[in-house]
Amino acid sequence: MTECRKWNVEHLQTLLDVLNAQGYCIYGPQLRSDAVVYGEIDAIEQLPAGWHDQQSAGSYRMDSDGDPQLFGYALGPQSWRKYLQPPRERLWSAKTNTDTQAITVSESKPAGKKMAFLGIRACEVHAIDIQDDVFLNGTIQDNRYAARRENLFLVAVNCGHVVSTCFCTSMGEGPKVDAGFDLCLTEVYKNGEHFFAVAAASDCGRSVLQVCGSAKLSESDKRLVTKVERDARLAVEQNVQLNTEGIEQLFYNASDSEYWQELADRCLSCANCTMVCPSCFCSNTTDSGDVSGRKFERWQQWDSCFSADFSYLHGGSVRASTASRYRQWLSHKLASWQQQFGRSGCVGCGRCVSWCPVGIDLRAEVQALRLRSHNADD
Amino acid sequence: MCTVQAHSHSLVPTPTPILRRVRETEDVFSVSINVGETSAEPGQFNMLTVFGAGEIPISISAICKASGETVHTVRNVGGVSQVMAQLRAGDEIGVRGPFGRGWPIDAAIDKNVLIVAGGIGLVPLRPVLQHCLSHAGHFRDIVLLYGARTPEDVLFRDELAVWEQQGRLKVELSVDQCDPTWQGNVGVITPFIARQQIDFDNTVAMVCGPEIMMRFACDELRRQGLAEASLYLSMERNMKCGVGFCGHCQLGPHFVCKGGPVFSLAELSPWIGRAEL
Amino acid sequence: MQTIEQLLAAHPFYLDMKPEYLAELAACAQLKVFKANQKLATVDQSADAFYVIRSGRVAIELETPPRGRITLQTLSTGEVIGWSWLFPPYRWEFDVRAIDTVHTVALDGKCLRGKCNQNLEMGWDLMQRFSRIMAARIKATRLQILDVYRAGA
Repeated sequence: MTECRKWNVEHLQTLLDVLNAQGYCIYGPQLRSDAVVYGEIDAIEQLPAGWHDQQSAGSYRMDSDGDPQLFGYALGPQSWRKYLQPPRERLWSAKTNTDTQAITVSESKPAGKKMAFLGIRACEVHAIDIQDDVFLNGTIQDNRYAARRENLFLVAVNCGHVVSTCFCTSMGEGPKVDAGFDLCLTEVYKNGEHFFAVAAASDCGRSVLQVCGSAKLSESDKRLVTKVERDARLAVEQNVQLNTEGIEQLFYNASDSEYWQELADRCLSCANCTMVCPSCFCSNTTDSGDVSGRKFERWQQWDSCFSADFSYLHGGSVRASTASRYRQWLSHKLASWQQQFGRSGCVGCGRCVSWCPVGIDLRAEVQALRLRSHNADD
Repeated sequence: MCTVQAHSHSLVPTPTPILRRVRETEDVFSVSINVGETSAEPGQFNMLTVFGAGEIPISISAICKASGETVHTVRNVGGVSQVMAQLRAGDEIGVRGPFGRGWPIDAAIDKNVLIVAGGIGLVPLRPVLQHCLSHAGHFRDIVLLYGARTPEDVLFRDELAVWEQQGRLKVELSVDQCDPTWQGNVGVITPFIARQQIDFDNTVAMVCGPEIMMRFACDELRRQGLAEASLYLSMERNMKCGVGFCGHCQLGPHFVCKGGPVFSLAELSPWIGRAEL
Repeated sequence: MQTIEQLLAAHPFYLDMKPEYLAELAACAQLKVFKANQKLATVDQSADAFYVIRSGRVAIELETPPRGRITLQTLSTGEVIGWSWLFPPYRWEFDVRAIDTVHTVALDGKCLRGKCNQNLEMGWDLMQRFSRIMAARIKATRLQILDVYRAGA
């Protein structure tokens, strides 16, 4: 990694211009309907300057204190997953030749445009890395995902604002982004001074950094940068953590626990947790034909293990109860994922905690499960 | 055990004309297609698309490596299979595959092959029978225990009779229900396991049928001393993509579509028999 | 030629039974052959014996108007049929019919009851063997009534 350089806010606009000129479609954070969401941007005025989020179990709210920080929020409800695996997209279309009756299938290729993500956090870089295990690193590759992923330019941001639902440190990555980015920013706003430390970790990133220009960080700048990064780490570490010790065995032993029913008594089976989770990858397909019976399509859309027909076999669903669905989601994310991909499926972003309408907090649930199993052992 | 890599456009079906559609029983039919040279192995499945209706995983019930002709045997349980049952020779279906890990044929070499099938579960085991019988010198006794609902539901009856007459295969067939004209066995198939006079220490068992029937069969096979590593089952879960992307077919840590559908009992025993897993 | 005692010892039902018990039981036993379609047992008739099947196949049946004769289960070589001799009123609850030629060892119920009352240890041994068969048949019957092969099962 090259040495950190200094950018002011104008450099960030230069970055957008440079990436645009290089043919990237840039996605970044914006404030919409009182939440930070990701969308196409080309000007830094679109960024949510001065907005800070407060999050806790079942709660998310934005406040503005008028400061100029562009990345002063922790995380919005959406993850970047929506760009790498769109919530709904056509996989192919087919038509029947009127003369020969032969059917031709055309794959619906993803739009070829290169994508750049501005403002991606450590937990989200981690999540993309985890989704790569599913779609890229196995014996079979998802060529749609691969095409989108291939030219991805990542401008990461080290967190300067931490909310109570953050627990990335439990999951081994963050809040500082260590790898997997092209450029990484740390935003500093102190004593009226507003600047960024910028690091490059790829050839692409270095070349963009060079084109954008930069200044040298002074020793006092560096101290401020270090303080932002350290304060964020301390803040996350002070949050409730997810205890992952022996978690595979814990879930295996607890598979028949009555606790799942107690959880299900609170869970609405709404699937919010799986929709906001940045590593969830499940999908379903729907086929259709037009009235002529000659044109057909298959669409893929996100699915959730909380949906009724997720585990459908003819005759009924394998997982009919909410208890079994909750157990599936949590056991998969935290335990069986390890056997499948060699690591946990959770990145500690805490979205499932904030966006659960009844405030189920998986950190607390795992702890409760531990207490149960501990008591059962006594 | 073999794992076959799907081609890169694995989510896009290839339109393929139906060579033949044959009615096997009242609610079971077979569809033959020619996929050219095929890498399909016994126990694997294809994803078949009826254009406009949907896509379903279907076991391959016969493979002719030389000609590429592949037979799929389907139970008409409604939905896509019901539309497929109406298709005729020449109509095109979409094909993706073959997918999954098939039966451990190599692990059965020089051993007895005990096949326990229930209902439509005979379908993915039929290519094993075909393989074992055409390589008879490679295996010791080949035994099929086959349970069906009624005599009318017995699949591949003529074929089984021919193999049995030729003395190449021992078949024990039993039905759950019958009328007085039936002279064969009545009762579930699992008790037949204990009655086999074979050396269970040198046996590989392959089981496919409704999950509960497979669990009963496993109990009995274990009781006869068969090791969990010599006992294989083909599992059914909701397979949508066939390549481990869609997440639907998970059973504990397994993706049934790519880790299975065939598993050893050693791999499965922590996960089967648990409610709603 | 094998003695009845030897025939019993060779049958799975009597696996590892003490030779002195086998000798006792053999005293109650006789060989019986049934031709195809011949009845081994008839509903409501006196259950005087149980049969050890040496070869052939039998059907446990019920006459169920208007469906006629229904076969509930078939049994063959290596199995035993009949436990109605064990309990009052000692009457058969099902019909049992030979499907083909069936070679059996028939054990006289009254004789067995007498021997078991005298030798409770032997009675317990025999009772365990029957209980195991009953449990296995109940298990099989439960699976059978699940009708697991029906569409949508």
